[in-house]
Amino acid sequence: MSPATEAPALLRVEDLEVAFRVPGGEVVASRGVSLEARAGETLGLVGESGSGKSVLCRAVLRLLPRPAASVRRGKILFDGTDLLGLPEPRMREIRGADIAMVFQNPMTSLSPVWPLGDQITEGLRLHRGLSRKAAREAGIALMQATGIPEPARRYDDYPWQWSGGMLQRAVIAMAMACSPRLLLADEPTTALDVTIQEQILALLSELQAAKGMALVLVSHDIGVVAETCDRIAVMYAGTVVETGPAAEVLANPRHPYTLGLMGSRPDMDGDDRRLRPIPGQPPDLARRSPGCPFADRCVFVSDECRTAQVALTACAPGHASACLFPERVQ
Amino acid sequence: MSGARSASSSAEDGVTPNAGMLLHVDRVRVRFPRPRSLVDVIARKPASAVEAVRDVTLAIRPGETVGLVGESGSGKTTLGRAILQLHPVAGGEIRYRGRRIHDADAAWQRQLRREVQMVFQDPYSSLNPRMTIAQTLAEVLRFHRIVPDAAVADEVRRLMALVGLPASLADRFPRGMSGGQRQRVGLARALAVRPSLLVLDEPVAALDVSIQAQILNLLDDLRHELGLAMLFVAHDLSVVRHVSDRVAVMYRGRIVEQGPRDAIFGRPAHPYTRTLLAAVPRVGSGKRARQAQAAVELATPTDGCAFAPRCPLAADVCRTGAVPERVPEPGHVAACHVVPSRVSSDSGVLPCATPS
Repeated sequence: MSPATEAPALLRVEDLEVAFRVPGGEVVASRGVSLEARAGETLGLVGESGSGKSVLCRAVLRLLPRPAASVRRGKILFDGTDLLGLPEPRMREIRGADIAMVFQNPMTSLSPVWPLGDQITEGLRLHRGLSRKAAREAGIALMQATGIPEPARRYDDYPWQWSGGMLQRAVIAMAMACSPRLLLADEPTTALDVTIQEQILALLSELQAAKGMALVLVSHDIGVVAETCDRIAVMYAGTVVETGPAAEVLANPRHPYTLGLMGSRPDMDGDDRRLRPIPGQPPDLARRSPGCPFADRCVFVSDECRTAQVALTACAPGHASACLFPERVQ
Repeated sequence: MSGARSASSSAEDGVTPNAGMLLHVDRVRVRFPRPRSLVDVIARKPASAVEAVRDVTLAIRPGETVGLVGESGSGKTTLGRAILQLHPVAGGEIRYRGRRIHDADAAWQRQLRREVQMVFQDPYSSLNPRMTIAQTLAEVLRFHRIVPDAAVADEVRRLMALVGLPASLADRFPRGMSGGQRQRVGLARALAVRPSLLVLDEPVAALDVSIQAQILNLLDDLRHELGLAMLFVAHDLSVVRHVSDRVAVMYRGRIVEQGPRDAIFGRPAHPYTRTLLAAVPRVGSGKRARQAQAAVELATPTDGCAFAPRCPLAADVCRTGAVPERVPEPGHVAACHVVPSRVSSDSGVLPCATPS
């Protein structure tokens, strides 16, 4: 095992359950999610829309919409402290300082009427008490570090003056301002073209390695995760269905959903095999089935799958699958 | 311009190169006027325009799928919409079955509206929220008189089965359906009029990976069953590789490279195509060490090759004048000074001219 896997987890989510109230009932968006991210490690969260990836990130930062969402069970331990039990003023000190987040669309996480430099350095002034002048210097250094050209001249620019890729760099600069120990990046490159995506992933990886921070990278793109992450957690219908070292899980998937995701993806280098899509539709989260949430779409399904509770079970060192029949998956 | 035009029409008169082409986009330009403020008007500043599509030449044979890739803002959607006459063409012309699509003849326009169909990225915004699926499909069938009125209901069922929609959804509204189901409705509506050419604008970009694969397989079946030609506009290179017979790569309004699918993906010639392909994440490659780089300022050059400011191979010659078309192999054309031609450039005036 590499040293990173022996280090104690910086973030440890235990049995997290989050429910949303909706007209006529409730939707359970996170059903007993447990996972860990260690300092110096990149954890990839993979899954389709509605699988609970973003809800998990927002739960960690305690940014779930209220009163619609409620955390009903579980713990979110950050460096040993349960964030769910902290008073809001203490949480405000952590948000942006110890834990930061990068969202999918930079345009919606930036104010259109406030200069970009001031937005990037807001955290420094708030959390570190820097003066406007000191913040400006630090902000210019941050913009430099995130590859924004001519930062001194651009400090007072507004978001509309920048391209999408440059704005994503600004958002990353903002997230990095207080040297967080944990960075949550929710689909940070989905809105970008491949060449810009490559630059942003390179930037995130480099910052992560330089600062030794833990990075949680949420993506629907299994290729992005394969090239960027040390470990991955595959999510489906609000649960983690498979987790382990990225190379191991992708080479040797032990959950039918992971296998299905890989079969659905057109190959860049291989032959013209027909795609093997996952049949059917993702489940309705408002209805809770007693068995495996993937049973209705699974090609390896047995009767037991529809009734028995399935839990993440180790199938190789560090590699766990929530499937009753992991040996069938190939 | 006139010289170029006569060169292209002489190729046409020779009949062979373009014979049998279903669609021929010939040196097409599309412009969008820049907004003028009142001050500009008073100061008599001349109206200016953004050229979204510049001098694009592209052909599609019957039954062939051509993939059109490029980053956002490259003009690929605009070109697709120009083919549907949703944008006026500022230069060049588009021919369908050898006839100009711009001819105002009413019967011709009706024929075009039937034969050339579009499928949009977001089926939700292109379906009427107040019509059921059956009503949506029946309306098209009646308008174009595809089947006698008495047979409309049967035809609706046939179409739904064709795209893999259960008949039980016939009386549902779009809002009650998933993204994949709505995209199937969008396809069924396009197919209702029995078109020969589909223009698909990012048809799977909004769908989850597992649903995306279902739709890609469906498209594959349909084009074999129905002999459809498709222009498949997308930014996802692995998807385009999967569906296309030939591929055209757009950058800043121009097609910088086009050719057979295996040539573009296996032996890319243009530096931009190579940059794009190198950036596609691959599952098998494992965790990759990347080198962060500063963002590049991209002023669009007014002269020379548009890619020159980003090009690792750019030389002085790239920054001025027209960019020559090189032909690395028959049917494979790259607009680049640096790429060597292995074939005489005369044979590459029209990349579609390769004998099949």
